[in-house]
Amino acid sequence: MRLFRSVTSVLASTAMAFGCGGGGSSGPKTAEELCSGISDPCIGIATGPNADDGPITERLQRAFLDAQDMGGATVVIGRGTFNIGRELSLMNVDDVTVRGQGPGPQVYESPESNPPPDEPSNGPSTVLDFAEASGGGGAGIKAEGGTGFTLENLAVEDTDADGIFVNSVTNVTLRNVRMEWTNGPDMSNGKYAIYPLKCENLLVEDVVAIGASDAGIYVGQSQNIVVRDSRAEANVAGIQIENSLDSEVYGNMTTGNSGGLMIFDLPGKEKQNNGARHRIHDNTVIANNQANFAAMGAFVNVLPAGLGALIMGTAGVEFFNNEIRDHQTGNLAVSSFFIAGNPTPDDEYIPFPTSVYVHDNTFSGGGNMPDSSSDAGLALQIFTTQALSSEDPVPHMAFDNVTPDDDPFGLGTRYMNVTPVMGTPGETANPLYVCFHNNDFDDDQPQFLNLDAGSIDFRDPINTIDQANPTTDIAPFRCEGATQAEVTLPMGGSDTGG
Amino acid sequence: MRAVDNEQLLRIVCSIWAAVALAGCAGTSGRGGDGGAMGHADGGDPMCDSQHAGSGAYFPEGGQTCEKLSSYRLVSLDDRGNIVPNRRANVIPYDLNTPLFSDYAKKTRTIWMPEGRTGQYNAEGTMDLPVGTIITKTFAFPADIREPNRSVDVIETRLLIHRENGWDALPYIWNEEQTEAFYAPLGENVDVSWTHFDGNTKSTTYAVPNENQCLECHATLEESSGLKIMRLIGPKAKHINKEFDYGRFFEGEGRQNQLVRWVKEGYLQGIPSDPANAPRLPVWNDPDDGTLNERARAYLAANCAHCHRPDGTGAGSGVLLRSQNDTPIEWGVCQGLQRGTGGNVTHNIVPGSPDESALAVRMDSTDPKVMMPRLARSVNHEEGIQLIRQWVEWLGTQEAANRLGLEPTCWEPAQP
Repeated sequence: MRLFRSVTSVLASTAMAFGCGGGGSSGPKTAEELCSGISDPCIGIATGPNADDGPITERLQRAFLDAQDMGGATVVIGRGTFNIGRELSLMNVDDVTVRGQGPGPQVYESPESNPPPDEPSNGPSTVLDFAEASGGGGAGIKAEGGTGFTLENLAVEDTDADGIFVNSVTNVTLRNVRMEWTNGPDMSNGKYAIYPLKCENLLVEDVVAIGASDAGIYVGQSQNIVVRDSRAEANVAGIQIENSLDSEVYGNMTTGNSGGLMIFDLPGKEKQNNGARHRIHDNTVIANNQANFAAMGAFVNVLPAGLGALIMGTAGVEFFNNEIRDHQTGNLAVSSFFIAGNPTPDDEYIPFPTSVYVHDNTFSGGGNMPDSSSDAGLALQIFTTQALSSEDPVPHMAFDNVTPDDDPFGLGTRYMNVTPVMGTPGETANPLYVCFHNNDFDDDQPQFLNLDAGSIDFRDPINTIDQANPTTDIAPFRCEGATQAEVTLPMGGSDTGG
Repeated sequence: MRAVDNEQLLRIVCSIWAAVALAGCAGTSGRGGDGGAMGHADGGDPMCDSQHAGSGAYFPEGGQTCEKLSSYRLVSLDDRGNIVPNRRANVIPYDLNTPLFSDYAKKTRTIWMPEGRTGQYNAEGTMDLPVGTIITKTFAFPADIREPNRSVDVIETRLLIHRENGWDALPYIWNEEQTEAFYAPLGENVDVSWTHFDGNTKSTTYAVPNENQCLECHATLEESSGLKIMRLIGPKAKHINKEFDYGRFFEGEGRQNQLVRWVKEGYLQGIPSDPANAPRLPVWNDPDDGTLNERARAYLAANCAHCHRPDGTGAGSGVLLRSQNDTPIEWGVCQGLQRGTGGNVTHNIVPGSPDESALAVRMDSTDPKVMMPRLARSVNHEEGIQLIRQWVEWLGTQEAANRLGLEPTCWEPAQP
């Protein structure tokens, strides 16, 4: 016995919705009006009173199937908020644009949010609500394989699994998109809001990501990346660039996440064992103190809440002109992977940060309440106490200074043979070319902590911590390091957007 | 038990009609008529509509997609809802030693090739089947799962069709009257219920995949083109090397090895002279057909390896479950997770501890964030879970340690 669930329309409105019918210049646009001025092929998804009783899920999926292999197709979705019954997917895209009428205002606002989101505009919006979706997959919009995918001017809300998942696509633009779990931080939310994986040439701009139980804006195993002018709030990790090459991340705001801005490489990845070349600048990272709500087993679960920025186990990072303040665990950590645990076996993975140049940033506040429920947070607290006193906050900038000569897990210096990927060396050749230069501090709190954790056996930290010699001396690391190049993309910038 | 519902029939027809209507909106969409492999049903293909054809099945040489399943003349249904292969066209049924679980659906597979074409045996991978090959796979729910052939509600038939430019997956959904199945590239959610093994009613929302979702399991990324390319999963020697009771479908026939039968039909050449020399996976739930380890690994190969292979979407987890992945570390023994399960689980497999092993935990979930496989399942496969839990328990035994060279427990680094 069975019942078909999701098709609810009658023929007449379906045909009309596809734009065979007439026009009308006021009110909701017809399919033809939606496609007005857009070069063929264009598929308009009209959503006015004459069309909104149509089966929007089927119409969108139909349009995506049609558009994906037309070559240069645009799907324009009319205004409105729609219950979507099922994951929407594209595959082997051939230059597809999916465009709504606007992302609409942010729904959830973190109590930690500082500053609050921009005043919403009163313009039209297109909101795809997946709260009632079922039947296969569980993501919101998914695009996989092919070249040329642009998603812009719409919102995706409340998916079971990931929000917007773009896998193995070349030339990807995600612009003026909001992906949000409207209930705010919750372990049962999906893991990634904006989730490009294994993409080449990626532009993420004017995006809002809220409530992800892992990372709000996550870029993984990708190459040639720009993430700019976006907002991540109330996620575990706000923005995360992982195992990626050639990224430029600028003009973003992260606040109210557990961690603000994460640039790191993890072991055991399929495509890129080691990321490199990141230009991270002019971001505002404020009060990311949300309690960590990631599930166990998710890597970010081990991160301390209240961490502003983390540069971990990746090569070639220029981190400058950022404003970072008021993070309870600490404002910036530069570290090896070891602070998070022993890497799973991956002979090509380099667990050390190399050629990191932190300069001209502004730091203030924070460090006053390290998250000691996390081992890494506890370590920062203990080392600070050892280097300074139990009264002092964690310094603004912390570096674990574990090098390839160290053997932090007592495994027989597995990494001795690894040659770190170096950028252009700075003036001072400290072993990993990690340089701090000309940063501003708007308070009198301690500025720098060298954990000197390399001689600790992390399997027995209590009995070996005395072998460490944490210090606040920045001298060996005061240098001008390697700069990183701007990233250019073949797709052009926001001037092409709607 | 079924009430004829004209409204539902109308809906199906409407959705197809709407597709045709869209195709006609060339002025708006600018869509060129490409006769595309992934496009709309070609209602205009006269061959699709022809009633005059003889006994042969129909392979649309021009790449068309017929609106009705019957146009291909491959399979029909008897009055109890059982698949009837077109015997005169040499459409033959087959099955697998250990299949993919799909919500307890009853699955019936057939294969057909145009006359004069033949496939090439391949011991390891998928058989090399020629252009023109059409495989059907029908998903149905018997009213009572204990009597699978008595009163069957047939939901969908998927065509896997080898066109000139590669394989295509085409979903067809059967109407309520069970008289015809219609091309349904968007997929569909269908509420189904049946009497389960324990006599209780079981129900779920069965998801007919859309065409893109077919490819999520059936395609791998081709590095050179950056495209997902479709391939077959089931027709491998190790899956189809088994006896099949052809008498169930064809009166007067008996049991025969499927490889031998395919050769006899002209569908295959190059098999070993004795099929016993061809690879073969055991039947997952037949304790006489293999050890616990062999049967569990066969189950994982059939249910997971289409993604958990080096070029598959599951490779990022580090877990590889093809039958040729035969070291415990590949299965995830003592390996950390890339994604959490929502519980206190941190490893893919902890020998001896199914509750701490993501492999078992993910099978025992229908939460899209956690569950595996991610598609084609909306209820738990209790019998499969039981098998895998027993296997994980066994991995913790001294016998397993000796056989597989396992450490007795996973080494846990102390935390900083």
